[in-house]
Amino acid sequence: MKVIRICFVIPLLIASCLACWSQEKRKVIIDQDAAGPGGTDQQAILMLVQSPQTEVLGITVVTGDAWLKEELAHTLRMLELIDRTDIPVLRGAEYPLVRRKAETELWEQRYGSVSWLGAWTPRFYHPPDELGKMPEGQPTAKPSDEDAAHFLVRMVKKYPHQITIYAGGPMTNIALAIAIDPEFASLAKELVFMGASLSPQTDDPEFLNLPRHEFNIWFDPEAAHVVLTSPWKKIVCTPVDISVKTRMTNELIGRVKAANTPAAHYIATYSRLFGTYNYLWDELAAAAWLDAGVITKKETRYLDVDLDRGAGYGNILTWTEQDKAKIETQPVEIQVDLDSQKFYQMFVDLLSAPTPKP
Amino acid sequence: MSSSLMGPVTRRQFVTSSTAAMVAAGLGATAASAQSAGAASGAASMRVIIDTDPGVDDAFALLLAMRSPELKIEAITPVAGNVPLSLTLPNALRMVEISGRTDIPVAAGARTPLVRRLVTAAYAHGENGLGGAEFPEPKTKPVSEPAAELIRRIIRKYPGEVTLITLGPLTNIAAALGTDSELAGMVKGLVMMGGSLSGGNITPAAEFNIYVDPEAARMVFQSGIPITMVGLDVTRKTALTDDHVRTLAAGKSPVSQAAAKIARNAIDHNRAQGFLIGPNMHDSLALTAFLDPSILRFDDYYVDVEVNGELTAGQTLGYSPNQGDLRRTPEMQKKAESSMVIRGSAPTLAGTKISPVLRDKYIPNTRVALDLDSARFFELLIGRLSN
Repeated sequence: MKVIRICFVIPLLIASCLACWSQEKRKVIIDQDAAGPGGTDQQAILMLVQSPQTEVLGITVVTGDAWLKEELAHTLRMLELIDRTDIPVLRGAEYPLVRRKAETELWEQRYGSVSWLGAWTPRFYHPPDELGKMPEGQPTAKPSDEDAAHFLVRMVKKYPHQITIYAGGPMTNIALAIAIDPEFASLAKELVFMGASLSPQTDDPEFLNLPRHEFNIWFDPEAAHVVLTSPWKKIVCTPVDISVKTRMTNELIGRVKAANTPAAHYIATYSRLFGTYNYLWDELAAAAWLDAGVITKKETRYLDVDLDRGAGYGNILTWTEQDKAKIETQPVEIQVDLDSQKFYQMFVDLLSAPTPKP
Repeated sequence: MSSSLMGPVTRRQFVTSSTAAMVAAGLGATAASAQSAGAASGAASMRVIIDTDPGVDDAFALLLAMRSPELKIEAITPVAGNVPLSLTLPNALRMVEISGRTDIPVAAGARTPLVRRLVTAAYAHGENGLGGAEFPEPKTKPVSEPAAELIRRIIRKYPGEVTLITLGPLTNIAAALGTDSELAGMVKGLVMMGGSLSGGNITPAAEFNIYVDPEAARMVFQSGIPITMVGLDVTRKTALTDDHVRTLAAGKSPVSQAAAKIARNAIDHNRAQGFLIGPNMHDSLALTAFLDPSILRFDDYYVDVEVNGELTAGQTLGYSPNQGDLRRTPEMQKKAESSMVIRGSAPTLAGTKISPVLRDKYIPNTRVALDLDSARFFELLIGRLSN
């Protein structure tokens, strides 16, 4: 009798939990330099879309790791493959606010070459209107008519203090949203971003000699400055320091591959390792937001960006509470250490799961 | 060359062609015909958006614009500049009410520059932005849409038809261009009051509008929009005098009376500050360059903005391909221009296949006003305002 009652109660409990979960879905807009197919940018988007906790209001795309137009195509195609084209994809900025390619090439002649230039990296370079290789096929879905910055502004006004802005790329779109509406930052719930590099412990040559250089901040330093000095309620940063403690491996891909779901098929077909260092940059920022237990150590710093056009242009500047500059910097929660096993398990579980319906 | 390239090239040639060709091709011809026939028939044929930070001379330019029947003013978009947005917005609404043109949407623009903090010029415009001339609180309200969004929507509604007249820092325009990478290709042209190739006013190097938001100015100069720059090179030759005030004061219309009041206060304020030069009609001259380009003389320049200089932040640098050391043979120049996409950061309407190289070749992106017929300018300005 008792057993029967428990059997009866447990499904009820689960059902009610699911019900309250769906009521309290966490609203997020994913602002991403969505190179693809596969790779850290798409994998992070996928983790956020795959989580039953989230309501992804839209994906605002920005030039960064690749050009805007190809990123739009990769994102739309990925959403088609997991049958989630209900999520709006929005055109963002095609260029950083001020930085230009020609100017950057002159800078490199003077101060040394930069290993990752995103869309401008010579060995991958193609013009902004070309899509490059699309092994996953061209999407038939189209981006929304609205542009990214206005969408961002409209959404935070519609859901004040409820939306997390997840930023996985250069901050151009977010800076433009702030330019359009200075209240944007204070109307969002929080900013969660992958970016910045403080003093990563690594032998990776990209950071060994340039520990303060990180692509997302560097590619649009002026935008990052605007964003980091705006009045957010909360800012959370996943810096290179913690990224280098993660590794994407064939073993991980293999574990996802075992599942028979659209997301797992996508990862199995398009996720590949490149070179020596394969970090789970944007995935960690996504996972840490989904489950705070992933992060085992964090600290508070104040952040800004070096805008002088010398050797340090685009480098991150940091202060502690005691010695912070008397300027409008915000306290930023910096992630320092993680529970790797928990993180990798989340990565596998989320990417293996059936895609939640809208 | 692919056919998709013909569009941009044709357009660039249009931009870089001589002033005479420019007049024949569009602006001048439209202006001339509008002045002769348009004034009588009231045919408003030239769609414009006026982006402004009133501002004494901005107020004059707004009044002039609304007294210019050839203009179809789609919107007025105030921005922080001469004084904060909390003053430029009501000042713009006041001008709209005085002119009886509350049908024109006024949209609130940026409160701060794109990257920097706001620097104002209350020293030149008085604490209220109108040289101390008092007007009642406006009853008209701004539209709810933010300026950058309204600008974008109007340009997309009339692709290839809208000219942006910018009289303040370029924050609103840069925000609109940054949010929509196709927008620059849909703008007919941009006539700005701003910049200088011969020294500044807020600093020895920089003109005020560019100095306030150099990053925005750079985005605009590199956008590929055909730009007409009316800077201090010419506007400093346009001092308002007591005679002008008397003519305006004799006019019967509310516009003439308001202009007289602002002018009187501006001259007095200017004298009290100990300036030798009378208040310049910077913004009205920029508008005039659009209404009747034959009043000014132009030449083509590659213009860019210094965004980092310690002493030179906000300086506009002009390079003339006709005079500079990088000048080419006519064949090579033609080749350089034809292989170039005109949209600095944006594809054209037709869509382009090559990446922007605007800055690489120092190809002209701007028609810079170098001289003017001051008498004809004031005839037009004071004539229209006092009529």
